[in-house]
Amino acid sequence: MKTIALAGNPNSGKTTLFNALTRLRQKTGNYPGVTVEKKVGICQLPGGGLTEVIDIPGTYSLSVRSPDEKIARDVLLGLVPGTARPDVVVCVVDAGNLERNLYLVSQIQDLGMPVIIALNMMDELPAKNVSLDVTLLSTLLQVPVVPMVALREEGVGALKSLLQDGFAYQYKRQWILPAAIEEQLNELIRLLKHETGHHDEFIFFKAVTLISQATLEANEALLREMGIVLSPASLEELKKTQERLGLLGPHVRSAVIEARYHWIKSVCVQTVKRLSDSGGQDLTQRIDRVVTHKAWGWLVFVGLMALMFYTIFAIATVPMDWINAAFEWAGRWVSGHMPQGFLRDLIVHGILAGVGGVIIFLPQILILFFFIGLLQDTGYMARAAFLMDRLMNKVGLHGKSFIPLLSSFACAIPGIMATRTIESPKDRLVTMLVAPLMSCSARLPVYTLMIGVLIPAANVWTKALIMLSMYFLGIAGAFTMALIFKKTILKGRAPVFIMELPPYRFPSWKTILIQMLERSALFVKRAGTIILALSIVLWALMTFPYDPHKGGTEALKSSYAGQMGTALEPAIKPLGFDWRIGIGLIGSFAAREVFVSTMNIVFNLSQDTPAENLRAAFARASWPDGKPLFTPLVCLVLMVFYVFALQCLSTVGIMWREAGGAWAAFALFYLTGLAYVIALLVYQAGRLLGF
Amino acid sequence: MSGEASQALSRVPCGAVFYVDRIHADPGLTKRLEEMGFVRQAAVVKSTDRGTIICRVGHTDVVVSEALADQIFVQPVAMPMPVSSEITLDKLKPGQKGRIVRFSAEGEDVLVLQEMGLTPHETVELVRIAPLGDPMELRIRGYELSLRRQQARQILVEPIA
Repeated sequence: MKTIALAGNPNSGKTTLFNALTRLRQKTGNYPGVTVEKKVGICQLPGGGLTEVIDIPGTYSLSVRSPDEKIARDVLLGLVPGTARPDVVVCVVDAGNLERNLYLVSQIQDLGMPVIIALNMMDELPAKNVSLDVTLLSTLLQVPVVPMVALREEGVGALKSLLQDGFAYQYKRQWILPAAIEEQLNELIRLLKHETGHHDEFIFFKAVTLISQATLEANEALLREMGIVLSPASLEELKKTQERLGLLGPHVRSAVIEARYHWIKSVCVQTVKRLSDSGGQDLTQRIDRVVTHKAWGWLVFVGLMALMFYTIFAIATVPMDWINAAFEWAGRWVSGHMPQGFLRDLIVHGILAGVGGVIIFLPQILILFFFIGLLQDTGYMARAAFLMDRLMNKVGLHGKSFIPLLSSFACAIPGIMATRTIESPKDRLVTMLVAPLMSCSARLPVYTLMIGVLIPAANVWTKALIMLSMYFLGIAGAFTMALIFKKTILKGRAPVFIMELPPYRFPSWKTILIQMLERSALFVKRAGTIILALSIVLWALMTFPYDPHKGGTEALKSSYAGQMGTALEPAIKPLGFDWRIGIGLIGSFAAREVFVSTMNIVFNLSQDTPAENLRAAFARASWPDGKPLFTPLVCLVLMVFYVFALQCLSTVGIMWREAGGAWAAFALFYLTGLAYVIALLVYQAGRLLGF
Repeated sequence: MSGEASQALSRVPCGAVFYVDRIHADPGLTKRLEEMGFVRQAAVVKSTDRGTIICRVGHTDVVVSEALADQIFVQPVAMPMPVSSEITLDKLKPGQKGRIVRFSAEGEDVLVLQEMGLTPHETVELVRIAPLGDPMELRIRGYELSLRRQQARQILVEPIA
């Protein structure tokens, strides 16, 4: 089967074309060792034959400054294990943004493999008052050009026919370097040919990339990455060539870029005609006037975020209740139809409760990714980052970290998944590490319970104020930690913040829907397996060793979890916590809201006890010497602990998937450590102040 | 300036920057060429030379016949362009345009900017500044992009009107 690679700039409609070519016959995964998404699909050609389509990451260049660009280059060079080397490259080009889009095309042409240009978004040209001579463009670029509107599937058939029938491909480089640099380029080509014995058809591409490197080491590393190890003699020659290039002046490194753009300019001058010079502003400019306005811009921004939040918080609760009810029903059904015993207990309290606790986040994830898809597809996301960048810059992050952090108020899981829009791996990691500090919806039951115990008589406003200060504490913690990470372990020169502000476009519902389904499937499949395993472990800890004579509190106290809680007491006593709260904390590592149900068991109440009774039990609870356990200070310390601690298996699971086990473990330990230290400080300071 | 390094525009390679040195033509033609932008010291970059010649003079693209290009003599660039009024890009006012002259920094960061199309001689417009004062929105090569002031300071432009 032949393989086609789909390349193109971000916002060129590449994903839309991928979906149009492959329908739903596509698979999403990761490239080995990196968190760059790999999308592969199967396309049926008009003659009935099948061809594989690889959607390589959208990039502006193949110069390898980000993981995306590296993967894009390596797939095209056939260097990625498990990914077939493409036979044809289809470059998706935005017809309305020809100049910059052709830059990548020009780099890909250097590879020497057959290229087709899918000239997308042809329907936007009339509104821009522009006409484009497609035939001349094809002649000048020496590649077949298929004009299309991928969103409406216009021209997709023609592209498929072209892929089916094949085409003669002849490309001769058109951009020319200043003579002195050209001479050195030929020298480099000769050198590499000598080294590889003429078998490497990518010699020209590789030689060109060498020109823009600053040091010999960089060149050597680059060649090794691309599969060429130089002999000492060749290395010496490379060094000489590099020295000669260096003598030509500092502009040598950008000579190739300039040469490409000059050639592209000449192509554009000949093919693009402005029909009239009516200075009228297009739709994007008019929308941007409002959306980036000093006053209206914030109004639109806050309004959209509020809408998104309201939907995630309020609307999502409806299907979440259904899911909850369904799992409870399943639990009751199993309880009624299975003989009593460990197996039943495992299924009901371990598996069903564990899996249910994960699936319940699905509606939030679907809704969040609907909004993210919508904001991204329409072009608003870039404006949101444009508005927020200054603020995020203060803590060393950039505008694109904002949406993931905001999403984490609903749930850190979709928030962490949303960090995929951040290109810089370090910034992405920092965002992921601090996302759990944003108070998620699972903390709400704990906050509500503890505020009720803290000041039962307080009015709604006081309660709301305490709640709000917990949220702010989380935000302050997240920003502080982000700053610390950026200055310490994830230091590193900030990459250039350069972001395209694409024109506003009507979204592709199909693309959004497919993305929603993909994300949900990933979540359920990968996070689900880890969480299932861990919930079984937690269930076992709270059940064994089993003593049939004990029940309720007694059984829990003698379980491994209970023993751990007891063992933990010396450690958490400085926070004002006893072993019972210890068990609650251990249970909370499955999910924070489990604290409430665990406390119900600890205080020997049935699962369905109204919150009032638990509060009363809390009010009665005391230390062996009779001092009350839940003093106002302890309630506050407990809440502070919950603000910081990473007590959520699902979050750990998703971090594991997105950043690897080591970072997931790091997040777990640093956040829990932070929670402990801050809770300790608050408690001891409170004691000193006489509370 | 010595004329020994000057060559006919028709013979110089594409892509490199040259300056107009003199025009060897009858006064009428010379005047027409000057109107097209071929004045002394104007920067010229040739993009193609197959048949007719396409080149960029100042910030406009013009097409000239080979015969005409034989009469235009240019000199290679030895020094940074003599620009009297260059300012850093972040000093432009919203709505103002500038022609990129050079970069005050070197290295990877500059290459990233150039790959996005911010190359010397190109016209860039500062569209607006974000409400919080940073970043800024630019228009270059027919599209919009956002850049922080810190990077914009590395780009030197010659303001246009």
